[in-house]
Amino acid sequence: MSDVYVYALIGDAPGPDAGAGLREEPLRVVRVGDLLAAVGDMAESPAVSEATLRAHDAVIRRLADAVDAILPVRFGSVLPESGLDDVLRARARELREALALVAGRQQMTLRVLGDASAPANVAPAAEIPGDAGPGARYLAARRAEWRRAREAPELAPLRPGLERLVRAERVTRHDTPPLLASVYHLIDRGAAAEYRAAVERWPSTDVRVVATGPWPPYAFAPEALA
Amino acid sequence: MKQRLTRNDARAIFATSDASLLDVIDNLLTKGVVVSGDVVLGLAGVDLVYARLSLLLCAADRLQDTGEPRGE
Repeated sequence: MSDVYVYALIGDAPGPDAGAGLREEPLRVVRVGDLLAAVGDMAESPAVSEATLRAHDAVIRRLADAVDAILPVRFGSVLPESGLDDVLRARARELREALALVAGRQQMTLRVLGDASAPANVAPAAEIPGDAGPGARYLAARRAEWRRAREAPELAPLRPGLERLVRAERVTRHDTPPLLASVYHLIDRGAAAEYRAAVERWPSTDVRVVATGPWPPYAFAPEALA
Repeated sequence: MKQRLTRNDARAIFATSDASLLDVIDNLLTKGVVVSGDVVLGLAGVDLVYARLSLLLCAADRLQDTGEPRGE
């Protein structure tokens, strides 16, 4: 069976407006059970360059405009069509849930910039009971570490304004100051202007946020599907 | 099957002065469903994306600060 380049998993079949793939190859839809994948026939993955990245991004955006729910696939995914069948069947339930979450929604990205040593950015010490054994202390510390890696306490002043708009959140913290964290928010389609307005009401503090988007919901796709 | 992006490839792509391209790289190379045969961005490459973003967003900030004096 021939190889395909996978662009995205989609909730419904796109109309003709979705156009062609990154090498101008026709886009087609592969159905696996009740899951749909938008693919193009391609023998090998394109080299990574600004041009190919932008071309891939353009295809995803067109697809996103043409369907209600989209889970973009990472750049460079080429596999035999039969392999796609196996992957999708194995993860069908997780993918269906992820598609339901992103249906009718889009992503905004916030970059949080500030002084890494400012008090607001230093996470509080983990609460570990004094009588805990070494194993329990270790696990509690790991849990606290895991939680801190997925939180953005710097955004507290924005929360009241954003609460109403944000349907889901993913946080990635960075070790590249002054960039402290990237926060990805899932919002309803059409709510981007309102979201930006809420971000612009940011009080002047030592921390600054930069919003970009709307994007297809890249950060809300399931992590590992190899 | 996986294609690894070398440090040099990464440098060439990330040596951009365009923050929106870095957003695209963040989305396309580090996020999204992993199906198979995807481009693996080494740890150094991931750090480069955010280091460049950090630099560019700060530079943009300084540009604003030293820009036209606010009217009055």
